[in-house]
Amino acid sequence: MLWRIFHRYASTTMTNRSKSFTYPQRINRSPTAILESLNTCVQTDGGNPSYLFMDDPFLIPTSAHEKRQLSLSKASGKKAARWIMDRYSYAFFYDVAVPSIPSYFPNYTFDEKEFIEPDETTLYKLMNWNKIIKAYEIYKKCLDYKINISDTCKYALFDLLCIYNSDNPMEILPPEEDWYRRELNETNQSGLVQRTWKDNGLAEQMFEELKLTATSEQKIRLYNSFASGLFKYNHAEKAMIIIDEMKQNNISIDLITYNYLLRSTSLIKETYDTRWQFMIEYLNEMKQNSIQPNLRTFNSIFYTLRRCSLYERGPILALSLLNEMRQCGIEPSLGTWAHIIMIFYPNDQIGYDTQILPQIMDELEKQYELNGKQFQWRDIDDREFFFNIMFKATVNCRDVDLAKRIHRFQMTGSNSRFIPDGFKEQMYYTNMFRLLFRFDIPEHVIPLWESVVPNIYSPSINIIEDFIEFISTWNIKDYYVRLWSDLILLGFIDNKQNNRRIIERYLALLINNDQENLSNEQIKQYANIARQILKRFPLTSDEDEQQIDDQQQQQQQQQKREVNEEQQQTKQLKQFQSKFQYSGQLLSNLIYLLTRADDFDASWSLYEYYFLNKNILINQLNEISLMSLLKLSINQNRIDYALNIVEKINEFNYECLSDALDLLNRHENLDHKDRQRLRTIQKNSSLESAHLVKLV
Amino acid sequence: MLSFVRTFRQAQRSTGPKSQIGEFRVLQLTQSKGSGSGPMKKRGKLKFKEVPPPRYLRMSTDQDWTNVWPTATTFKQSVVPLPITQGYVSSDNENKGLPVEKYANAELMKIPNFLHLTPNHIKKHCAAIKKYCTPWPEELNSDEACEYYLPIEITTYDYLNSTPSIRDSRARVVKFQFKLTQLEFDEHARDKFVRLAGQKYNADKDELTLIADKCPYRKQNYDYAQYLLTALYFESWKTENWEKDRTKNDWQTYYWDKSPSRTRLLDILKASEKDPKSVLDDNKKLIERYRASISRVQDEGVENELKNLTDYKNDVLMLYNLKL
Repeated sequence: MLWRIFHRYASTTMTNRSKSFTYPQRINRSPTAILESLNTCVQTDGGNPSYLFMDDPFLIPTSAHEKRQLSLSKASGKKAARWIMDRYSYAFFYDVAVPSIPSYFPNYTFDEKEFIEPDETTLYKLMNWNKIIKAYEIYKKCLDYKINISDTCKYALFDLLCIYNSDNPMEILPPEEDWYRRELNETNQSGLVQRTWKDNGLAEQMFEELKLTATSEQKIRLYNSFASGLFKYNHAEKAMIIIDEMKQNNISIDLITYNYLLRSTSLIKETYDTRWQFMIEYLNEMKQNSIQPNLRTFNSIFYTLRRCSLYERGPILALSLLNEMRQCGIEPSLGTWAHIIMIFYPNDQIGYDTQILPQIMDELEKQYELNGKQFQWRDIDDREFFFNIMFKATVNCRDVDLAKRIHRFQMTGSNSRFIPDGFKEQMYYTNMFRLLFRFDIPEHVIPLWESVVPNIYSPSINIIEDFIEFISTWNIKDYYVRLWSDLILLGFIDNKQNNRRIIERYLALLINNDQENLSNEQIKQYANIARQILKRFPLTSDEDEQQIDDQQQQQQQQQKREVNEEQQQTKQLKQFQSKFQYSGQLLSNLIYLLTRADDFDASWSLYEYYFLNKNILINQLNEISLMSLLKLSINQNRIDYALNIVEKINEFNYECLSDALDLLNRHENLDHKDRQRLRTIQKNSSLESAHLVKLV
Repeated sequence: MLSFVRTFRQAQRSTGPKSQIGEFRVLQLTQSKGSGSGPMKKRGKLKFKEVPPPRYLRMSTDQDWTNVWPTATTFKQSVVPLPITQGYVSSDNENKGLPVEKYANAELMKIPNFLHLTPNHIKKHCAAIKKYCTPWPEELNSDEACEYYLPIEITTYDYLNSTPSIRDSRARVVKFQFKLTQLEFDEHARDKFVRLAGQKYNADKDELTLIADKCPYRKQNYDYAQYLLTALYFESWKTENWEKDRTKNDWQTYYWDKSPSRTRLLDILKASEKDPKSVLDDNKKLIERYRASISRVQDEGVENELKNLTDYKNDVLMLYNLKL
C-alpha cells in the first residue's frame, strides 16, 4: 500500500529508466546452509588434536590409552550431570535460554496419579519418553478398566513394540562412549547374526489381540510391522510364516518389509543359487505390485550376495545389479561399494586380477565432486566402506598407490566421519601402515606417518614394532632420537605390559645399525636416552627391597587401624618400582651406550648391579658391552676395574677373552701384580685362543 | 599417563608400646618426639607425564593455516608459530627489559585475535558462500538510480549475544528514511508536511527519518511507522479551518504578492498617477526589480546582507526617481 503513494518523478537527468525493475530472487537456503558451506572449507589437519582433546599441551592426550581415558571420563561427567539433573529435578527448572532447549532440562518424571488413572495421553507420553514396557502395562490396564483407546494409539504402540523387540530401546550412548563401543559392549563382538526376537513377547501378544479386530487397512500395517520386526531380529522362520499368511489373506507387502526380507534371505535359504532365485522371485513380485525399490533394497540384495561367499556368479550378478540401480536412478552409496568390495574379494587370497578397486575410487571421486564436495550418510551400511576398502586394498591387492589414494580420499573434507568407531579406525590404519612399511620408501611413509600420528591415530604396539623394523631396515639414523620421544608420547614406555619389549627392540635398533659413523652429538643423545631409561626405571637392588620389607613389618607391629590404605600404597610403590624387570640383555645394551659416551660411573654401576643381582636377572651381559666397558676402563686408566672385567669374561667363557687379554697386555701401565693376575686368568681359562696370547 | 604416588603421614593414634597385662596403662595425649614409626615416610614424588613439545615446532612452512585455525578461538601459544609478544615493561629489571613472550601471556589471551580471518580464509569463505549470492541488478548502476527505483530505506538491527537467549530489546527499532521529492506535494502540502515532521526532517538532505521503537516487537514497529507515514502524508494534503488564520509571521517564505509592502507600493504609485489601473503596466519593470530585491532581503537573511540592502536602496531610489 505504501508503494502506491510513491511515484516516480522524472529525475533531472534525462536518462530513460524503466518504470520498475525485477529484484533477483533470493536463493532459498536452509537456516544452517551458510554454516555448512563454510564447514566445507575446513579439512582435517593432522597437526591438531581432535576437538574433544584440544587444550594446553600438558593436557592433550597422545597415546591410545590416554585418549580413551579422557574421552570416556568426559562422557562419564556428562552422564553424572544428567543423573544429578534427574535426581534433583526440582532445582533445574529455571530457564534462561530463549528459545528453550529441552535437552538441558530434567527428564519428565511421571506422576503416580497418571499410572493409577491411565489415559491415552499417558500412553502417548510414555511412548515419547521411550518407556515401552510401561506403556504396554498401562495399555493393559486401560483395557481392564474399559477405557477407550483410539486405534492410532494402539497401532503406534504395536509398531514400537515391533521395532524395539518388546523392550525399551537402548539409551543412545554419548558419542565418546559410542566410539569405543566395540570394547565396551562385551556381547556379540564378532557381529554374528543371532536370533534375538523375543518369542511370545509383548509384541506377539499384541499382534494376536489386534489381529482379531483389525480392518483390512489396519491389517496391512499390522502384518507388515510384525514381519519387519521379526526379520529385524533375525527370526526368519516365523517371519516367512507370517509372509505366507499375508499372501493367503491377500495383504499387500510394503517396501520396508521387502527390504528386510531381501536382507534376511541368507537365513531362509541355504544354497547360493536358491537364495538368488528367492530374491529374484520377490523382486518380480515387487515389480508386479509396482513397488519401486530404493537404496535400501539394493543394499539388502548386495548384503545377501556378500553372505554367499565364494559364489562364482557373485561378481557378475553384482555388476548387473549396479546397472539396474543406475537405471532406477538410484545413486550407489558408500554402503553399496562396501558390499561390492566384499563380493569381489570374499577372502584373503582371491581376486588379484580384478581392477575393481581403482574403478570404485574413480567413481567415488567423481560423485564427490558432483555432490558439491560432500557425502551424506545414506544407509547404515556406509560405515563399513573405508574399513573394507583399505582392508582389501592392502591384503588382497597389495597396491601402495591405491592405499594412499584411499587415504587421501578419506582425509578430504569430512569424509573421516565415515569411520564410525575406534576399532575400525585402528584396523584401517594398521592395514595401511603394514602395507606401506613393507613396500614403500621412507620419503613417502615418514611424512604420512607424521601427518597422522599422534593426533588422529595412536598406533598399537604391533604397528610400532613394525615401524621400528622399518626404520632399522632403511637405516634412517636421524630419526632414532625423535623415535624415542615419540615412544614416550605414545605411552609405550609407561605401559607396563609392553614396555620391556619396546625398550629392548629400540635399544637393539640403536646398537645394531652402522656404529662407526655416528657423530658425537648422536652418541651423546643415545647416552642420554640410556640415562632417561635408568631414571624412569631405577635399579632397586635386593638390599633396598629388604629395607622396604623391614619397614613394612615395623609398621605392621605399631599401627593397626588406618594402616591398610598406607600399606596398599607402599605396596603399590614397591610394585611400581619393581615391575620393570631388567634383563642382562637390556643392561648390556645400556652399558654399551653409556660407555660409548665415556660415562664410566654409570656403566660401572650397571655392571655391579648385574653381578649383585645375577640370580634374578635373565640373560648374561654380552660380549660387546663387556669389551666396550673394558676399553673404556683401559682408556681411563682404571686397571683394577679392567682386570675385574677380564676375570668376569673368563667366567662367562666368552670367545673375546683372547682379545681382552691382548688389549690389556698392550697397556703400558700394568705393574707386576696386574700382570700376575693376567697370567692367572690365562691359566684358568679353558679357551684355546686365550692361551695363544703372548703375555708380557 | 598421569599417575602419582602419594603416601600419607599418619597421626599416631594408638598408644605407645603395648603394655603388659596388669600394668597401669599410661594415657598419652600427645606424641612425644622419640617414639615415631621409624624414619619419616617420604612423600612420594609426583610423577607427571612428559609434556609434548608445542605444536608449532612441527609445523611446515607451507601448511594450510585455514585448517589449523578454522574458527575464532582464544589465542593458543602452542599453535601459533610466530614469535608474538605483548606487554609493557617499564624498566630493565622486569623481564630483563625484553618484551613479554607469548608463553602464558594472559594479555594475548584476553584480546580478540583475527587469526581465523587471514586473506586465505576470506578467499575460501567467499568461494564457499558465492553460490548463495545473486548478481547485483544492472538497473541500479548509480546513486540516483538507487533512489529512483528504491526510494525508501528501511533499517533494522539484529544483535547477537553469547548468551543462551537470542532476544535483544534493541532489535525492535525500525527506521524509515526517504527523500521528500519522491512524494507528490503541492506547496501547501509540502510546507505542512515539513512542519508536521519537525525535527525528523533534515532540510540539508531533504530527507525524512522516522524511527519507531515504541512497541515491543519489530513487526509492530514496522506497521506503526508505515501508519505514521501514511497519516502524515494525507494530513498534509488536508487544509484545516484554522489554517486561514495565518499571519505574516507564520509565512515560511516571503510572499511579496500577499505582503503589505506591495499594497503600500501600489498605493503610493496610484496616488502619484492619474490612471490607477495602468499603474502596474507602466512601471512594470521597476516594480519587478523592487520585488526581487525586497524578496531577497527578506529571504536571504544574513548571507549577502550588505549587497542585498544596497540593491534594495538602489531600486527604491530608482522607483521614486530620486538621486542620492
